[in-house]
Amino acid sequence: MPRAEAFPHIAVRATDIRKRYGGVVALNGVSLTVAEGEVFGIIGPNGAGKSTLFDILCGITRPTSGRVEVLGQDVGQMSPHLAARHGVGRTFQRTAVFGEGTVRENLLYGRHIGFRHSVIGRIFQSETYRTERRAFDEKAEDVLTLCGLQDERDRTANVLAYGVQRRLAIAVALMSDPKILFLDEPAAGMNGRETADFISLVEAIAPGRTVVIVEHDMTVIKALCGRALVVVDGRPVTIDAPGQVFRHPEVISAYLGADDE
Amino acid sequence: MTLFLQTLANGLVLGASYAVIAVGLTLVFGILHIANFAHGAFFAIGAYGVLLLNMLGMPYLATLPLAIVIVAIVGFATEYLIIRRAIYGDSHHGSIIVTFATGQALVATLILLFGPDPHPVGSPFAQSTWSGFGILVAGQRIFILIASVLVLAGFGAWLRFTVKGQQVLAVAQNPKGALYSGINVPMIRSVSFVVGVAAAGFAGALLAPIVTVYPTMGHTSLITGFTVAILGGMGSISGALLGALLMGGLQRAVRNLHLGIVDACAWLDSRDRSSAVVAAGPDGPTAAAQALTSYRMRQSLETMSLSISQKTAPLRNRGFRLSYLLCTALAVAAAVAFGVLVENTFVVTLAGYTCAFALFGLSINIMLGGLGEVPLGQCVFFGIGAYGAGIGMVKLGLPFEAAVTIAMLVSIVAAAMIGWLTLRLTGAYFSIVSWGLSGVAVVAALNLADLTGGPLGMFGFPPIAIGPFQLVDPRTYFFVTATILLIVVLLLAAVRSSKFGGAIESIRQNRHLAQSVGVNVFRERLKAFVLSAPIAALGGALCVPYTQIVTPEVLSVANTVDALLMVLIGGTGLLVGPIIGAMIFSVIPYYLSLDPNVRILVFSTAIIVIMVFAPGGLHQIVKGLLERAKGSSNAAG
Repeated sequence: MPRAEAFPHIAVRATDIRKRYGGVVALNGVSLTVAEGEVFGIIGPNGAGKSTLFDILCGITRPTSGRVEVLGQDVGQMSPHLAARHGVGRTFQRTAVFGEGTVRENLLYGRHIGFRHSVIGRIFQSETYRTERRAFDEKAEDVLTLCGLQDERDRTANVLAYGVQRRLAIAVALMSDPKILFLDEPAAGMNGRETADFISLVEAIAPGRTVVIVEHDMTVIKALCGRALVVVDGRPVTIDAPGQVFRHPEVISAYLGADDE
Repeated sequence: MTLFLQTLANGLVLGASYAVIAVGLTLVFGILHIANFAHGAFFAIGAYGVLLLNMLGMPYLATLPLAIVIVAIVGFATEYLIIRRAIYGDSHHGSIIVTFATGQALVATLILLFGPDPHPVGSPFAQSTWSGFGILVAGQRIFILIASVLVLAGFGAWLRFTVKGQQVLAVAQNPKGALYSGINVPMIRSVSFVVGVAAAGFAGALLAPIVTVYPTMGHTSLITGFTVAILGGMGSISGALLGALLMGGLQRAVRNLHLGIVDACAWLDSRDRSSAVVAAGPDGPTAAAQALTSYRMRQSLETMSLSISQKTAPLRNRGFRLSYLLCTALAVAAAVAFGVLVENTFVVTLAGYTCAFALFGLSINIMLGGLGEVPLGQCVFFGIGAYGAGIGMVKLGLPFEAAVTIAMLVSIVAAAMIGWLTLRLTGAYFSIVSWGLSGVAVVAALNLADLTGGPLGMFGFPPIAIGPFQLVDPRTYFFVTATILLIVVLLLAAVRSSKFGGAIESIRQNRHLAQSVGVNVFRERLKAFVLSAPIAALGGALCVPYTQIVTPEVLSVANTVDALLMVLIGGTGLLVGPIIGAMIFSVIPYYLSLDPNVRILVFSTAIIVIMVFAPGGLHQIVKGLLERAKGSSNAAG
């Protein structure tokens, strides 16, 4: 792993992850290491176990066996809501935003762990409350600009175009200042123009944090990731630079053999 | 050995009839994804069908099929007029509220038509018994067993071997897929609802000769049905059958073994046995069943509750300080003007009472608008407040302030315990349990006569005062309650725009995302519930100076229904919605003096109408009109 050595710290370390649903083996011995600051891709045909792996990495699902450490913390021992406090941000493939809230309210909800004030503090406009509000306003402006949502701030999330909703999902995740960002099929369902916008967005937010992308779309992986893991039928096939990965014979056969989009 | 066999035989009979109820409930849940709170009413209608035809001179056996037809007709009308419009459409909003209100309306209609008294129904098997192996079984029970098994077998055959039955199964698995393969999904939903409630009606018709016929007979069977269906895993027919047998056996066994708490069993038996089984589980075996229940619940109810919680109207989070101050000033001015200018002291007293009851509405709206839950048992906290004031003042001789403070603390502890047990899950589970609790609370209030005064309630209050303010004086009463109401509203407004309020709103909109941005979903929901309880208790206590009596009725679900209506009229999306609702609500009884049952009928119907035509309440209608007038900002943006 030549590129990983350039970074001294490990952001994600998964060791021999196995996941079984009844008799079905979804993951069979996947190991991976993601260095801090890296943009790492996980790809594979439909049903390969990508989403299962994603859920295990960010602590939503527990593996049958194996160990996952994210930023030095054992994810298996952590309640899902605690992951955010340890610097983990996530976007989901579906139900990505707070649908009934405006864009700005979405950002407010996303800021949850950045607030410390109590209800009493809110009533009497305590120093903490005012400082936090100011910090939120600044942060929200930055994130809105970064994600290109300045003009949408007062619109309800439900009525936004699909691509804009996906950007909002990333904006919500950014509000908690995550050190590591997990993106689950972020470009699924996007058109060419939206995908291009999305790629430049991730390029803009990647510096200073680790990004793990589970993705179907090769363009995204090729454009963004330093390295990618290929999963086929729950097995790790290869971890390499995206350009190399697609020359691997098993990857080619898996992709050509599978009836994909 | 004989006792065992006897227990087994009785359990089998009971289980068979439960199975018929639960299978109907399961069918409706599986196909329509609604927990049908009106199921018990159809059970009662089945029994009343038998009664009515019996009075017309028909023999019992001939009345059975006709009773099913009657129930099916009422069921179809309900489906066509209410369920279809309120629940299948875009606004999937609160199926619990709609079916609950429907059930209340149907039961109130039965009371108005037939009176509240129980009626016996004769059966040709009444005199005959069967004995063998040393046990004795009444003829009607054997008939129930045979008929139930036949119906269940017929039902299974219908699902398995007929085209329609297969279509029902297809819709249960995947409605969209079923629609694409040419199945008439709306029709299948109708059929499922009608068949489901007809099963309940049939069970009612079968049980009529043993339990006698009375309007609220369905309540017990509904709760039992839920327990059974949950035990079997909601949505699974064979699970429901197993659950029913287990439940029938357990109830018989518990009764025969006299497991300790004789007192408890005595009340529960007399009134509302099954609701206690769901809610409190005072017996060992039932507690075990409960553990199993909550496990199965986890799997089956998550999906349903999500759809409910996501579709309740939102509490908006727009803190314009200026308009806050302006609204507050206006509210104060209006209240002062009202208190000073209105001559009629009765109207002023009524306004004070309205403010107190509006507190209860606010408490309910924390759950309904805030969490997206339907707190049918919120009346328990209201009752704790009222009884706290009563017991504290009349029995213990405490001053009003002390009694209210203690009652509010008790309600906080109660809410923390109830919430700890129930709030991990959402939707129907919470509603069922909290409803069951209110039943238990009423029974407790009736029976703990030394403490609560029993059915007569507590009266003979000393003059009630808060500090220097004598609440006997109408104007003082009004000003005190209005001030407290204002303080609570301002408090809730602050809560809503705080970190905690944001967390609650984010959970309601998208639980999973909220969790992923670091919100501890269970803890925040518990906090909201615990916050809602003392507000309800305060409302309950402040109603006492007006009512001057506290009876077990304050704990009954009818009380929740009143407040629920207020909230729905005003709109769940608006913080002051319940207050607007309360104002409208207090005007109506002032001008119309309604019979309690007519009132339930009218109000339940009003709830249904609101849910069908304006799920967001008046607030939504006004907002819709305003937006139409100036063009939607969303569309323009």
